[in-house]
Amino acid sequence: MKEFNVALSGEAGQGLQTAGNLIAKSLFKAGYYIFTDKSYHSRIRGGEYIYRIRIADEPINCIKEEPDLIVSLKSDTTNTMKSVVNDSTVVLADEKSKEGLEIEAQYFPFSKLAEEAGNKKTLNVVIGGMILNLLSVPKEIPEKLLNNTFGEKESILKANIEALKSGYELNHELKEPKIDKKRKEDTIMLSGTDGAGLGAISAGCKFLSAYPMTPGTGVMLYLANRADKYSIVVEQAEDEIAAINMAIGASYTGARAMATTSGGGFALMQEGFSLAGMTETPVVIVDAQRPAPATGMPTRTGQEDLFLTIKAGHGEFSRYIVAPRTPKEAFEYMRKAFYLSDKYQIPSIVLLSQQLTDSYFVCQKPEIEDEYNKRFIVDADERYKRFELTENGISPRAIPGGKGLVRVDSDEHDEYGFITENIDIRKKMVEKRNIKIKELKEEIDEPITFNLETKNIVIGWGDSWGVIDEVARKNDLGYVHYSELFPLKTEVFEKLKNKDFIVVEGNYSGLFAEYLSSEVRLPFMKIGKYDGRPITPTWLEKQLKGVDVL
Amino acid sequence: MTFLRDTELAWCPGCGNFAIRLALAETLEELNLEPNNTLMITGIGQAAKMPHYLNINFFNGLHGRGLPVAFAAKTVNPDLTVIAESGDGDMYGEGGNHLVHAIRRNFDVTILVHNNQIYGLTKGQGSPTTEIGHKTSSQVKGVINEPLNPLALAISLNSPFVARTWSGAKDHFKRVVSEAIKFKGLALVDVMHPCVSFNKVNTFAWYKERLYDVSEDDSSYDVTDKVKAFEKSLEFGDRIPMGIIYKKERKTYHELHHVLKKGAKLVDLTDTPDVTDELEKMG
Repeated sequence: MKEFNVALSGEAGQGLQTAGNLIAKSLFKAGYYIFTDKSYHSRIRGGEYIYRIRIADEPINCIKEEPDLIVSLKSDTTNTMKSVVNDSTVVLADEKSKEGLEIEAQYFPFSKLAEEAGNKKTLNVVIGGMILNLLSVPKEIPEKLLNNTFGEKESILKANIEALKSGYELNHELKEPKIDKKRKEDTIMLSGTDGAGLGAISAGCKFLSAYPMTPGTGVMLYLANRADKYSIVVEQAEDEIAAINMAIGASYTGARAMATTSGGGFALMQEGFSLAGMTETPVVIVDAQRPAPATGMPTRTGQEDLFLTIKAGHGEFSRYIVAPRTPKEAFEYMRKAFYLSDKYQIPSIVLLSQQLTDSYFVCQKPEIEDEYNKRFIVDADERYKRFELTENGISPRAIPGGKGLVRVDSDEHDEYGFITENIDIRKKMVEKRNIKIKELKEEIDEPITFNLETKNIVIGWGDSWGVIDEVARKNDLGYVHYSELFPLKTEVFEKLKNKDFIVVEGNYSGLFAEYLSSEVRLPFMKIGKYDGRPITPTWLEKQLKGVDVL
Repeated sequence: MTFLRDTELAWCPGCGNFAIRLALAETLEELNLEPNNTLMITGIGQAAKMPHYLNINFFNGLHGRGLPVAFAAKTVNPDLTVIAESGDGDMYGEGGNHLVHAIRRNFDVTILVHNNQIYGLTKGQGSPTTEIGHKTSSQVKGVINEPLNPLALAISLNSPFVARTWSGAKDHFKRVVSEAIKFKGLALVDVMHPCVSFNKVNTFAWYKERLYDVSEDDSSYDVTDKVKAFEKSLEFGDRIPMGIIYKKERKTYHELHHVLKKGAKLVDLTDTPDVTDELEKMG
């Protein structure tokens, strides 16, 4: 694989996200495989902001820390990359931000060119033009994208087109990194936010309630921006408690409904989650993970909410939990989550992360499973029993407004939904809520496996698939990688004898290793990343060397 | 089908809830509502048990969390008549924040708050409306926190329908609650009633002596005058005002929401949209 890694280094407010997206999309359209990563602080202006773009001639699903090219707009931010810079790294810095830069750089008048283009805010586009020219991307591609963005604001568009041109025409002596443009025609570029948001729309979600919380807010905004087109009500709730209760109320009344949040917000939703379990109301929760405890690091990534979700809510009841590996899977599993929630009348959680929501991947188009459109709602008659006891625990679900009454209670209840203290009914209702998991388990996919003939098997879950896959292929390791976490399929381990297992995950204590140990009695080595940054190939290889696997 | 359900009631003998149940069932019937098109959302507490004693659709959810459920239910199916009912602890305490924001949303709902100024189900602790000095099982030296004034709170938030009635005047209750249900928008009704087991201060006689209807008391009382209504809502002592204290329609959530005002009825939208064009855009 040939690759080239670019880092745009500056501060919030300089338009680096816009520039990064423009560059990434243009590279994609020109035929490159790309992967992006945003590293930023929880602030609107200032701080550090690094937008990384990894460019390659074959599919890539993770970021690499070591840049080949840094464009520096702020010395302090660029200095934080000292440890990942090597002799061949090229640093291009804005003349205006020379001061304090501790890495050798070539200086260019980026800011001046932006001012000459007619708007100093076009600094980001000057840089974009320069990078795209270096990678032989036809200028028409970014021009068209700028047109789509600023088409209606003529003077702004003009300045941006001018800035792009000066970027393209900038004199420098950089050598073009020769990377073949081999992207498959039918691939698309999307982020985890796009995938989850569009998956929810495609599943027929008509009600979303949420309290904004980074990095889960993106999914809420994705639906809000398309609410008119698809007739969706997106309500900003007063808090996460209201958000989950709203989603449950909407679902009880007949809409496919969801709530989006991050770990702290989901902590507030615990009682509501339990309510969904008790009332057997379908609901989908998106938890985009960020480092915790408490407020933690709002704009960083991690995999710390495993136990929070698999053990969520007081009491015992079935649930479905999935951590998609890619935006494509985010789309597909979001649809599956709505389907399983409806079919089994349970709450589902789609576990994302800052890394997955914020990164652009190049993927195949998601597959649309028609079965997942089914709703499983019946008409109630006068004798309707919302919680009728059945062999598989699933009662026919009706919604209010039909012939029969739909009675639902958070207290223990009888088959009609009335409060009960009856000892036999209590037992049967507990069994009913938990027995559903039996059939549910049959709907769960096997984990992805690779190269299981080798001695060393890496295990991971969720957004770590890209990096584990890359490192395994490069170093002849095997892996078992999970997306569907609850119920958990573990049959694959029955065939794996005399192996060394290394569980790699984005937390300190090895949550998944502990979880897996409770199902499969095998010795697991643990490797954890808990600095709030994504797992990268270099980091993982170093850790594997540390435990003598490499 | 009648709204009254023939079943054993778990309230203490003499509780104001019995009278409220009867008056409410009559009100619903006289409005020609059908149980299967009426939805009651409750939280937890003695008042919240109400739908178990009625023939009605119900969602008896979590303590304090009824209003978010009610909001979503009405949003999804506007054909349902939605009534949110619970006690003072549930609506004014645990769910206080939701009440504030429900009023801001102004969705079409009737909120009945059984206000007996005490916690009944948990046996006699102070509620948000217990008066200063009142000794309770948990405030053993007497309440020192300022009681919450639900009517003043609602009017200050521009709640379009704010009323009070009580369990001891059936006709008054029926008239006020009937107006509240017919009202398009959020209607808050504070329903005062005695708790015979745990409130020995605010008894039946105590309420009877003090409660008076604002419009009967003063035929020129203007329910649309917000400042006067606010002033009236502050009265709570030897005389306690009841009846419709403030009423002024404003646009509902449904009328203002960019999707709903076009007539979209979410309950009927069971389609799963084709998103091919969105996926194409990402290519």
